[in-house]
Amino acid sequence: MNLIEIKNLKKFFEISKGSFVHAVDGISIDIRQNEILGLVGESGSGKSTLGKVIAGLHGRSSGEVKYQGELLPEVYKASDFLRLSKEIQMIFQDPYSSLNPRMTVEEIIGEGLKIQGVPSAEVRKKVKEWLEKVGLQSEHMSRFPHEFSGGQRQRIGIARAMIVEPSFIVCDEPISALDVSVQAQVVNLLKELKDSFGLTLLFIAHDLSMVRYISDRIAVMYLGKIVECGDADEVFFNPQHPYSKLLIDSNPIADPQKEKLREFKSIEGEIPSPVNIPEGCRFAGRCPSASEECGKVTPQLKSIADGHEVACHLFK
Amino acid sequence: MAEKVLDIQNLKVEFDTHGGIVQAVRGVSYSVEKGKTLAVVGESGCGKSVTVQSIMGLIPKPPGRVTQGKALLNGVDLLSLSDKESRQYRGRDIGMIFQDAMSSLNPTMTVGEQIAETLQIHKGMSKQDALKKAVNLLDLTRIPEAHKRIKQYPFEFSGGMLQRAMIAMSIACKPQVLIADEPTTALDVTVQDQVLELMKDLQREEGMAIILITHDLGVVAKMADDVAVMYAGEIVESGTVDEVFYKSAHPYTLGLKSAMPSMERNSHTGLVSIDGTPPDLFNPPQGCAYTARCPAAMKLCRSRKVEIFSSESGHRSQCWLHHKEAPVSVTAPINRFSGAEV
Repeated sequence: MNLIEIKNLKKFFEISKGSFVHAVDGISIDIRQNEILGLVGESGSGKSTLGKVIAGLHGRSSGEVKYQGELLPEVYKASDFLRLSKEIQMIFQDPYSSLNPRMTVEEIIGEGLKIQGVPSAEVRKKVKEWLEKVGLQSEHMSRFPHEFSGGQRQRIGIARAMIVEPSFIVCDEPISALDVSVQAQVVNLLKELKDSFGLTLLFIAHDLSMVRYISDRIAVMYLGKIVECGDADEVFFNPQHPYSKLLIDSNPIADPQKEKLREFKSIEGEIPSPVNIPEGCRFAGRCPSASEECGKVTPQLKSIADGHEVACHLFK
Repeated sequence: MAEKVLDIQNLKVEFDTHGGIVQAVRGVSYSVEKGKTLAVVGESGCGKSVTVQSIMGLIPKPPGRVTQGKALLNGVDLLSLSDKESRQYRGRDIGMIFQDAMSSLNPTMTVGEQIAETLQIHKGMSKQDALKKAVNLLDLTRIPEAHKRIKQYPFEFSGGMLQRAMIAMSIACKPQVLIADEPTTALDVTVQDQVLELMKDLQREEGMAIILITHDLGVVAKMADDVAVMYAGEIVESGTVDEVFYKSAHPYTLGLKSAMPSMERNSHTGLVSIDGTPPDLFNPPQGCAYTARCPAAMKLCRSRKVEIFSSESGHRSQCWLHHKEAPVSVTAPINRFSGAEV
């Protein structure tokens, strides 16, 4: 069962008259009920924009986003937010700037319920409950965000998203700002919540090892498009698209012997500007196996094995 | 034994704050040899950056102060010199690159001028010569079209390019030691790989020693010859990269390792986090600072300051479990030194 269906989604930002940033440029992907879909790619590839469009924080330029079969509005009105924020929530990257410093933890976590019109005694009870579920204590309610460490703040962010009991959460780099030992705490917490509440997650991150660990499937983005998508272990251990291969090979492994034996040439250059999109395959300019065709024709996602799709002319 | 280029001995640094005195660095010793890379790992707030900042004279005084210790650069103690005297070493013999290249460079100066500035100050070059040299340096750090790039400002560079420009600046005077403080934390893995490879190549060519501060064990595995693990202002374990990874001798190192996802197919469980938080350095614990989070903690750990134990090969660990009378029944899968010495 697909919880979310995305068809040919585009999101452009106008930067000056007639010139656009093609942040998300024609993405079609389904997110299945109760799965964790990992979304990886370099900065500037459009992964956060995709997440924000799904959560309604950005309107879309064209294309469709369906939630449980229902076509979501192109641009959300206040009433849409009121209705859909019970279903779709978001956890943000920076636990320092995403919490209002002038609100107490109780106000931050309880705000969602309050807006839904839940009586304040009930809100208070729920906030207490959720603080404990995410591993904080109920006496933390009256404190302010600055009194917490990064990992604790991310837990507050998780409690804030979870309290309305959504079925889908967009996690936008939820662990990037945290220390290794704390990353594990947050990842384990997300996994637990997913299992006990039947959640579906879009997990955006650039730490590939962690994404592989937590995800059921992985989608690799490059310059506004998905270039490869499939089972997490397949994509990580058996990547097919030249870009996915290079991306995964750049990820250093915490094993000195393996690192010494590894022969890998760094990927050349950097991600091109999303304003002037090159014709044909977007990766052709940096691709070691690019041919003439790649500079002309844009490759489409094709299935190469069960559930494993790649957008590359190497696969006919 | 290769020569130690930079040798830090028992360094202690504290800061005055409204809440009292923070003991950020509490007796750190490490050294790095010519042509080798020492990685310093640890969580945020463990003092790994403050250690190197104090050597470079970068901590604001007040509120900060070095209360004890030496930092010997080829035998010269940098910490005993006056600001003016130490200035000739800093930037010339020790180069430093920082995590956030965008905020570390001057936005109102061109990249070329900033690189040239180092050469003008330390080598007495004319601005013209220094700018010429700056082009070479940018070439060396593989920035395309270097002659155009030196006339640009930092905002015209991407994150990876800025980090290269900063490397160019730090190696301008052919330093003997390059300190890299989380140089790739803000970069994508692909660009991180380019920057790390660049540092390796430069090290091979120039033979400089590198102190690499990071919290990413993958980066450590890729770059380091030796590793020092820091926790709450102290070094808890140090040794060669193989010793620290494969024969970990401190429960904290083990904890860090098991908090990393395994790299085996079908393993999607078993990530072990280190519960709790590091101790308050306003009032550091009497005994071992890791006691509160340590799965193998004993009564003794709480009350008595830990000694540093060392194996025959020089692998060191600050943990009571290496004491010859430590009970064998305490289960911690650490590598216990046989015939450990204090």
